[in-house]
Amino acid sequence: MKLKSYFVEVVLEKSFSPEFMALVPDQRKKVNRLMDEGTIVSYSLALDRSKLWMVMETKDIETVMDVLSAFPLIKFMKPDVHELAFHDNVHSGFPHLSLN
Amino acid sequence: MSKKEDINPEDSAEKYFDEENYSTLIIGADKNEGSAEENAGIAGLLIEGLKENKVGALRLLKEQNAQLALLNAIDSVTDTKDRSLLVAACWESGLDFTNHFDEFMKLLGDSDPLVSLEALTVLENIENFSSVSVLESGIKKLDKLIQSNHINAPLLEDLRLRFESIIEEMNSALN
Repeated sequence: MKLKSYFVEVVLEKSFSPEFMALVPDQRKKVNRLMDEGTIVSYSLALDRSKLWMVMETKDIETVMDVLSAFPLIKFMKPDVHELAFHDNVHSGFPHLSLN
Repeated sequence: MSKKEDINPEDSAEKYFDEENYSTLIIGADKNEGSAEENAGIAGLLIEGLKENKVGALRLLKEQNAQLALLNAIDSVTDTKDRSLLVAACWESGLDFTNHFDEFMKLLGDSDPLVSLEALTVLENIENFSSVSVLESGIKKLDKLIQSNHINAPLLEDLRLRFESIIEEMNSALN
């Protein structure tokens, strides 16, 4: 089954409350697991901690929403999902061959 | 610490690191070289720089190899938000803290979850370790924190696994 790529922009709640901080370890573990599985292919945090950006590869947008809704920190997040035509990066494809 | 002019938030972060405007040399000072008052003053300037122009401040910290200035500042600050800002700057600046493993292991056990989390990220970013014994001592400290149910215990378990994996790699390289 061909997977589709989705760009997810998440606005994070401004103040990091004790409740928020208590959930951060579970959130990081969840994201690490999803990256290991290949569901999340990139994950970035803004320098000012105001936003997260990630690219997910799933069968449809409903799956993206299911994944997001299972995030421990979802109640502190406002996600916006965009389907991508493609997602390319320097690590994808075959490695470059060296002639040396 | 004296300064010749008032701080203008519109200025670039470079002024916080300008020896001509600040009587105390901020960057590259040896750890614990200054008095507690001087260190607190330097910490205040670093925090202000990071809040007003984070990108500029991080670039200057990196260019000046300011590991020791950051560590002095962290030691002298008690406000947890400011401490987490400074610990975060350690990894955000891309500086190498390989030689300060023990300091960050101590910060990892901080009771403030964000200070601990930022220290964890610094430790995750260390790529080269001088010896297996350094990592073994780190694992012992991690075990104590995990057993004490530290708020970041789930992540500490992951760091423990990472240390074990590096020890395995180091041992196999030696054999």
